[in-house]
This record gives sequence, C-alpha cells and structure tokens, in this order.
Amino acid sequence: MIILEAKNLSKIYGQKSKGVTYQALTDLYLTIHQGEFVGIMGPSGSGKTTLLQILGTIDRPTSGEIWIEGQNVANMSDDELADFRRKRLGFIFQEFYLLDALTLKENILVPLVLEKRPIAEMEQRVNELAKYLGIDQVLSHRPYEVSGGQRQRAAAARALVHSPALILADEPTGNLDSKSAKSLMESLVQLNKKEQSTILTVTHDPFTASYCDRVIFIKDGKVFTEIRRGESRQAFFQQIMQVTTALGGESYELAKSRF
Amino acid sequence: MNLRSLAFKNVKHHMRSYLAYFLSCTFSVWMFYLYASLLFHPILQSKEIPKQFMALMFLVEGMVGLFSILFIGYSQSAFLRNRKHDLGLLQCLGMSVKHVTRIIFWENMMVGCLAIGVGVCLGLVFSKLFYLLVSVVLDLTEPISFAISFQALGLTIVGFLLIFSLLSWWSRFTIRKQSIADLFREAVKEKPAPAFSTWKVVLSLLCLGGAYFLAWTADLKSLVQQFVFIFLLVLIGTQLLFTQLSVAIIDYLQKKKPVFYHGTNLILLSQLRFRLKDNARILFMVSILCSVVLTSVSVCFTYYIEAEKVATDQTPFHLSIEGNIQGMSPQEMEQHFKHQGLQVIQEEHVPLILAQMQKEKQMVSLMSQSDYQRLTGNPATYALSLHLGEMAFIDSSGMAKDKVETLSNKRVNVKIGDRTNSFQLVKHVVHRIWNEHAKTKFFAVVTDQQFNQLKKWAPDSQQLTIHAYRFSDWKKSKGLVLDLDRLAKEKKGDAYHVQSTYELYQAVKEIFSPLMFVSLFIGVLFFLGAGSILYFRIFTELPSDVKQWVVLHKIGMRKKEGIFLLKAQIFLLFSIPFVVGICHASAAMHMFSALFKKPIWDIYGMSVLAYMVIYGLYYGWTKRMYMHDVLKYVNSPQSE
Ligand SMILES: Nc1ncnc2c1ncn2[C@@H]1O[C@H](COP(=O)(O)OP(=O)(O)OP(=O)(O)O)[C@@H](O)[C@H]1O
Ligand SMILES: [Mg+2]
Repeated sequence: MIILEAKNLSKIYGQKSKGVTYQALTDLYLTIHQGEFVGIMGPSGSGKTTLLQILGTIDRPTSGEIWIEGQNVANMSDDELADFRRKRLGFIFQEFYLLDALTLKENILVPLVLEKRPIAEMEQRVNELAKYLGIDQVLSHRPYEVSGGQRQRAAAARALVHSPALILADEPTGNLDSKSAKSLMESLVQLNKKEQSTILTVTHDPFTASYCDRVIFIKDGKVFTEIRRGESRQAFFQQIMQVTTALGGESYELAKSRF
Repeated sequence: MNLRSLAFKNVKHHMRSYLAYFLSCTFSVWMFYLYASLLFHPILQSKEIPKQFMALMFLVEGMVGLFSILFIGYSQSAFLRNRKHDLGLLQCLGMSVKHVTRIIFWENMMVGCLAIGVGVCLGLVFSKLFYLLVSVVLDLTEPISFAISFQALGLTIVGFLLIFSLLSWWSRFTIRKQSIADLFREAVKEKPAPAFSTWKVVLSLLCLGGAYFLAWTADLKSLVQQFVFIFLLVLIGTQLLFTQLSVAIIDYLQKKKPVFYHGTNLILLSQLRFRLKDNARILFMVSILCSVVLTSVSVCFTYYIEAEKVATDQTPFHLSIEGNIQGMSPQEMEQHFKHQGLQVIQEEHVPLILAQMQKEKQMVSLMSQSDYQRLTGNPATYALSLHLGEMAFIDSSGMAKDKVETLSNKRVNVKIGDRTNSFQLVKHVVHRIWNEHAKTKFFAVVTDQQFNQLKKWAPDSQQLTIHAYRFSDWKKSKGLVLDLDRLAKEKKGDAYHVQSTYELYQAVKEIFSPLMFVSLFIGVLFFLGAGSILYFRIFTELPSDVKQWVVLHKIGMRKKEGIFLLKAQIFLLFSIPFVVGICHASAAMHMFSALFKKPIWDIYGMSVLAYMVIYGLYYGWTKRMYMHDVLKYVNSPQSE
C-alpha cells in the first residue's frame, strides 16, 4: 500500500517580486510504501531538509502534489494540517527539540496530551516505548539531565508515541556519537519491524543510511538515483559509499571499523 | 562602522524590549521636572503656599529620584543579563572587554538622552496644567503663573545624565566579572525544577491569614500598635506566596493527571512552575507596590471626599466648649450665633464633676445618668440603668469599636474635695456621644441622686460645664469658630477647649488634599515602573517561546493553541500580582476605614477600576507587542 506519494514537487525560495529566488526542489517524484524504512542522502544544500519539511506539511510546495494516506495535503487548511500532523505524522529532529521545562516523560506525552487521549492509555504507551528504547530509568528527568543519546531516544519516542502513519527524521544521528547512533538506528529498525511503521530519514552518514531498506539520493533538488538493500548490510554500505563519492561527498574509509 | 553606530544598531534591534523601559524613564524625567519646576518657582517665596506642602513636594521629588535610580539600575542589569549571549559572541570575535562595555555605555546613553529630551519637553508642555492643578488643590485664589525655571531644567537634565552615565558605567563591573564561558552558558536551561517546602507553604498561609485576621478585626487603637507587625506579616506571606505557595499549587495540579495531561495544560503548567519562581521577586514587588499605591490613593481620596462625614462622625456636636470662656456666657453666645446667622437646633449644657481616682492616680469626670441618657439619644443598646453606688465607664474617643461590656467585682475609689467615695464599676461602654475635650477623655456615669450629692461636696475647682451646640448648617460656623478659637487661646492658652466640626473638617481637608494629589502622581509612576519591569521580563522569554512554538507547531499544535499558551502566560504574569495587590489593599482599606464606622468601598472600587484600566491597557499593549514579535520570528526563515 502506498502511504506517501509526491508528484512533480517544486520549491522556490524567496519572492519573485523581490528578485532573489532559489530553486531548492525541481519536479521531484517520490513514492513510499507502508512499512518501508527509507533514507534520503545528498550533498549539503541539495534540498533534503526542504523536501522533508514539505512532506511533513510544515512548509508548502511552490507547485506539485503530495498525497499522504490517500489525502491531498494541498487541500487542507492550516488547522487541518496541524491536526493531521498531530495524528498521522511523527518528527525526529537533529537538534532533538525537546522542551526544557518538561520531563522526558512529559515530552514524550505531548502529542497524546494535545489529542486529549485517556490517561491510562497514555501511561501504558509511554512505559512500553520507554522500556523498548531503554530510557525507562530516566523518564522523570529533564532533558539537560540526560545524555544526548537518551535525549534523541526520547525524541524518537515522542515521534512514535501516537503510532503515526509516517515518521520523518532529519539527521537523527547528526548529534550523536557512533555508539549512540548505532543503538538508536537499531531501535528504529526494530520498531519499524514491530509496529509496521513507515520511516523516512534524512542523513549524511552512510553508516546510518545502511540500516534503511532503500536509499534515495538527491542532487540539486532532483532525485539522482536510488539503491535498495540486498542481503548484507555491509555490501549495502559499500554501495552507498560509492554513490556518495560519485556525488562528490567525502569518503568514509574509516567508518568501516564501526561494524 | 564604529562602536557608536554598532550601539545604535543594537538599540534599533532591541527596540521593542527597550520600549517600555524608555517610556518609564521618560515618565520619571517628566515627573521630576514638574516637581522641580514647582520647587524652584518664585511663588515659593510667597507665604501663600503652606510649609507642609513644600515639604511634601521635596519628599515627592526625592522619591521620584530614588525610584529612577533603582528602576534604571535594575533595568540595566536586566538588559545585560538578557544580552549575555550577544556580548559573549562579540568577545569571542575578538572584541575587548573595554569595547564591549563602551558599546553598552553608548546604548544606555542613547536611550537615556532620548528619554531626558522627551521627558523635559513633556514637562515644559504640561507644567501650566500642573500648576493649575496645584492651585486648585491648595485653594489658591490666584493660580500659579507659568514660568520656565532654568534651575529646574538644569537639575533635571544634569541629574538624569548623571544617573544614566553612572549606572551604565557601573554595569561594566558586572560584565568584567563574567568570563566568556559564563556569558555563553545558558542559565535558564540548566535550572533544576523549582521545589517547595511544606513548612514554608504553611508559614505563608499563616502569615497571610494572621495579617488578614488582624486587619479585619482592628480598630483605630490596635491599628496604631499593630500596623508595623501586620505589614511585616504581609511582606513575609507574599514573598513566600510567590516562591513557595505558587510552586505548591502547580505541583498539586501537576499531580492531578486529568488536569495536567489535558491539552495545553501540560506545557502551560510546566512553564509556569519555572516562570513564577523566576519572577517571584518582581511579582512580589509589583503586588506590594500595587497594594500600597491602591490603598494610599483610595485612603487619601476617601478622606478628602468624605472629610465632611469624618468631621460629623467624630464631632457629634458642631460646636463644643469646655468650661466657660470669659466674656462668652451662654447668653452672649446666643447673641453671637444670631449675629453669624446660625440657627441652633440643639444645645446641651452638661455639668461634670472632676474626681481623682485613688488607685489609678488619674482624673475622671463624672456625669449624671439622665444627662448621659439624653446625649446617647434613642438606641437602647447604650442605655444604662444604674443603682446607687454603681458606676459605668464611657469611652467616647471614637478610636475603638462600639461595644457594651458588663463588668463585675470591680471597685473604684474616687476623691472629691476631701471625701472619698467608693463605687462598684458595672459597665464599660464604648460609644461616641459627644466631642472629645481634654477633660472628657475619661469619664463615668453615676445615678442622678448621687451626682447631685457629690456636686454639693465638690469645690468649684472640681466642677465644670460642657456647652455643646448643634446648628442647622455647621458650614456657616467658620467665622464663629475662628473667633472662639482666638478668644480661647488668648484667655487660656489652650485650643482644645473649643471643639468644632468645622475645624476638624478643615484639618482633614488640609492634610489629605496634597496627599491625594501626590499619591496620585507617585501611584502612576510606580505603576508604570511595575508594568515596564513585567513587560521586560516577558520579553526575556522571547527566544525560548519562539523555540517552543516551532517545536510544537511541527508536532501538530494548532496556531490557536500556541497563541493561547503565550497569552495565558502573559495574562497570569500580569494578573496574579494585581489580584494579590487588590486583596491586600482591600484588607488595608477595611483597616483604615475604621474612622467611618463602616468601610467606604465606592471610592476604593473606583480606584481599583481606574488602575484596572491602566493596567489592562499595559497588558494589552505588552501582549500585542509580544505576540507580534513571536509570530515574526516564527514565520521568518531562520527559525526553520
Ligand atoms: N528559508 C529559506 N529561504 C531561502 N533559501 C533557503 C531556505 N531554506 C533553504 N534554502 C536554500 O535551499 C537549498 C536547500 O536547502 P536544504 O536545507 O534543503 O539543504 P539540505 O540538503 O538539508 O542541506 P544540509 O545537508 O546542509 O542540511 C539551500 O541552498 C538553501 O540555501
Ligand atoms: Mg538539512
């Protein structure tokens, strides 16, 4: 089942009237199926964040269509979009974006609380996720009291807590050391299997990307190429490395040791 | 680009958060100039302006000056704290501490000079109106003429320039003390969640409860004794209210899951927990200021407007004379009244006997029961039916609450002439029955029979008659009262012998009209200061509010909910101290209206309403500015 479909997507920053415009995305097509774990890679400035924000309905495209779960996003009002995001989408950001005044548990609960779900359900869901992600010991701490990896896992739990149809992550491992990155990615893969959730993640890191089922490469706002994972992750990693190098990125020889 | 133009750019960039500060500074300069120009006015040499009024003006000038120093000092250090990050960055980019402090100095001086300029101009424009007001308040026959005083101008400009430059020069020390790392460290984030201790919460409730109870039951006598104590209790209670009780209440709400885990409550309560405690000192100051200002303004207004009521309440007789003034026998008095066009509607000539209390070594005046009954009039509550050998003490000072107390087993021995009489003290009555004279402060009632007997024994020196009159229109008695006063003073050297409604009325008005005038100005000044400090505090939270908005927007919070979150916080920060202030002021009002027998609420209500309007405008303005800024940042591309 197709969960997300982007057709003919373009994004132009700036106003024509003011003269300075920048075409960040050009005629981009993208299809994602239910339960897929998809990575997006590309050089800096290629439009990855832009794409993710448009898919996440935070920004509107200049032209083109986005269908999520059979609904055309363009026809929704701002309030409908907010409701849609709250119910059907989950976000993980590079900067974690946890609220400092809230404990980790409260942070994770925010989407459910805004939804005004029953309390018993909330508690059960948080405990389940926290245990799964290994942060059940630090739930009552506030973000600055825990490590970066724990923070990012809390952010992931927040993105997952309301069982969204689609999870969007922008460089979720960007601020983590390799060990934390590895354990976060493994958790995400397992959740992806267990809850049948669909995950779309932007990353610079071939190692992180190697956890995906499929990696889409973007260059200058267009899809450059796309590769699928075979049996071995190591081989997939090598493939990703090759494309990255072809795209003009730096090489990741050293990263091999991380397996 | 030199330092000055960098400073100028900074001011422009931070304009909004500087705005309230600027307005308050301008208002201070404006007020300072108005009062200074009056102090230096040539009319000061004339006798027409009472000395007390000038003293009051000096006091106001001093207060405005002091307020300015504190307010400007506080605001500058707050600005600096807010801009830590900026300044740290400048230092990282290789700017020396000297340069940074110089930038700060120029920024402050720019805002300061502008405030001085605008304030002085406003002062010049409004001084005519101000003089007119003063003339009205002082009942001057000829209004004070307009004059530009160069001394006042100089004092204001030089004074404020000094304040601004000294304080911003001072701020360099705070910058120097901080290392760059300190400047970068985000203090807000790493603060532990505010906690409370149960005993302090209990203490706060006890202090406030105790103070309110004392204030509610106080009469004039206990008021004087307990005033400082009550005030201290309120201070401690309010301080704890904001640091402890607020956290306790929020903690309680956070534990109630159905409330806490319900929509935006989660975020609102969590943030309030931090912000109420962070702002405890300001909330405390604002609520105390608010209550002091509200109370003093309404007390002054009430007494001024109700001077008539105070006067007639405190002096049941429009004219009362103790003893006989030479050349003013009752018959001659009649003549006088006729001459002045006064119509007497009641007159009393009450004989008294002055007796020496033996144990207490004090004089007491005795009165007959029938005289007493006539003076109290109808209410049966205060009627007495004494038997032979019994006595009742009467307190007619109006300082304590009315009551009738039955006593038992108390004997009093009084000496009249050289005989000693023993009485059984049976009642203690507190009730205003007539004007108070030196010798009637302390008096007692005995039966008619005994009174007549004692009167025979008493030598002339121990006898006295009080002459009391009620007129159809006491306001016409001005001439008479002044005449009598002069006479009494000439003959006996004691003004206390003549007690009149008119004099009291005049005295109350004389005290309260300048007080009212002054408290109004000071009130507005304090209020603007309080508002602008709140305004600034709210703007300090801008970056974190913007960040929160962005996060929640992505998670799927509706715009409406986001706006509600911001508005609710601003509303609470403004309204909590105002409500607390109103509560305190109501209790204080009740206490201070003891003189009226019943509290006068209409004037208080009106001043609360007026303040609510000013405060409401301030709140509305702050909210608009803040929402505008948050939305601007949220919608700008950098925030994504
Ligand atoms: N709000 C904006 N206004 C104008 N131009 C923008 C805006 N946001 C992004 N751009 C431009 O669009 C292009 C794509 O930006 P985007 O952030 O999507 O890149 P990216 O692939 O995420 O890069 P990186 O890997 O560095 O995060 C960039 O050249 C950027 O300068
Ligand atoms: Mg990016």
